[in-house]
Amino acid sequence: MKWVALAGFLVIGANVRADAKKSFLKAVKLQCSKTDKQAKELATGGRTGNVVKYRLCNKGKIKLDDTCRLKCVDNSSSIGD
Amino acid sequence: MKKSFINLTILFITLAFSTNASQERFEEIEKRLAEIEVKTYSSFLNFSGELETRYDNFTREDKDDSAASKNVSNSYFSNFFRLNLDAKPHRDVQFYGRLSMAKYWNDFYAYGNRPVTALSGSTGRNKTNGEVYVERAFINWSFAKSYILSIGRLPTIDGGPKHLHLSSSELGSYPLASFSAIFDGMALTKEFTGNGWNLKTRAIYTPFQTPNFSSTLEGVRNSDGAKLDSKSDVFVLNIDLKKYQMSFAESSSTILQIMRVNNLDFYTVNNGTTALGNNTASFTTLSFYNEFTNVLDTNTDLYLTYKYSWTKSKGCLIGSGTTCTTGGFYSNGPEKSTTGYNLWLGAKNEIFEENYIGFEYIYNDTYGTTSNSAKAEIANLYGVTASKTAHIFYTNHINSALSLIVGAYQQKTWRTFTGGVFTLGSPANLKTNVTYSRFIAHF
Repeated sequence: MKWVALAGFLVIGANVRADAKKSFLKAVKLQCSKTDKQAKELATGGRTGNVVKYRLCNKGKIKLDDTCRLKCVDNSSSIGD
Repeated sequence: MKKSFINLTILFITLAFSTNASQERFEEIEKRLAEIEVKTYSSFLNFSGELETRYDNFTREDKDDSAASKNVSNSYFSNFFRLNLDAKPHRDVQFYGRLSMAKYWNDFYAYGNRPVTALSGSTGRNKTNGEVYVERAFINWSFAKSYILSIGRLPTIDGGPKHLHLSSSELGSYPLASFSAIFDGMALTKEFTGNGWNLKTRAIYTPFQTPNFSSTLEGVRNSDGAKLDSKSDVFVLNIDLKKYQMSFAESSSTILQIMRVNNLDFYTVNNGTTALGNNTASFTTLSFYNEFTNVLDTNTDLYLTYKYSWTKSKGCLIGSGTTCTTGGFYSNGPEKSTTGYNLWLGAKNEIFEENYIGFEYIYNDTYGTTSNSAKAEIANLYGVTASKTAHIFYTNHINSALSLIVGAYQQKTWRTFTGGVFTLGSPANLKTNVTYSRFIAHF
């Protein structure tokens, strides 16, 4: 039972994180002119990581490092994503 | 030798049974996992939301009329609740929704008529009685690489500059000056991306419709028996350009929007007694919104928005005998064409981390069309024609879940329309002062 629950959470979590991380990488490359590798380095995980911060952002922007301040996008408020 | 053979046989038999048990267990887990996967991919919804409490205090003074009814003051507490949901049922299909409620605190007793709860452009924003309405519900379907078809109840309210007060990401796709009402419709978006820029072009169709709830098939006729159009076409072209890492600013957001409304029929909206035919209006607006963030590395954001509108009005809204008493959409009588403009500008500065102060100046020309039907404030901040308004605000993101906004504005109005947006009235001299505070929890 534990295995099933764990697998379920992993599937759900992976699904949500995959989209969130994809959006994050796209935003970093577009807004901060970072390479794939640099963007992936900034895509830190966990509750306090950058991907979750970006996903839950309600302050308009988040600071990733001294050279990149990311403007948040609320896709639900944008026609055509 | 014999003993070794027996031991080896036992080991093989044990392993065989063990493998069979593991295989069965694995298959069972796989089956149950598949069920979870199906459930996850087919109906998984993400939730988020906001709870906002606001307090508004206002006074209105009529400089030309000292009657008590023209010089009023009041204050109200109100609550707003917004529940956002989204789902991705397919790789190419994304759903977004929002359920909203707005109400005064504890209005057990109320006078006058409550707002028309089914008013299409502002459901969930009219302070009614705790009902929850669908404010937005639409899908984005990606196809042919970079085309996206959006259809449903679209995010057309709360456009820029509204997000500046909250210091948040953009809250809507239409510039607020263009039109702020919730529209049902469909849109085709094509996206282009380059090095440090992103461009979206959108063609949007949101027809107004006038059903007759007494006889849906019959439609609507005026008092002369003439059949009225039940549909008024509304076309929008929206060009949305974002640029980043500019020499003088961190980013810019530019939106150019053209909107065309054809033969919008007002007969049934007001249901007035008419002997002069129905009042229809056609109008075109050209709106421009531009915003720069962190200009010259000063933590200052600037915006400017401008709209020019052309209106053409036909017929009479309310008449008596052969005399038209009310008619003319944004004009001083029936059968008129007018032009007008709106000019708004503002600035916001981050004075220290997560604390902002801002200023806005809002000028709406006498014939400059306005729409802010999905407003939360008690006295319309943006949507008053023939007015100029100065607005200051302070925003504090207390933490990632709580925000506080306090502000004040003074609005001077020099003309009013006798029928809402029909028939220009005589010169007015109104002064409205508002102070407000908003406490918002994000979850």
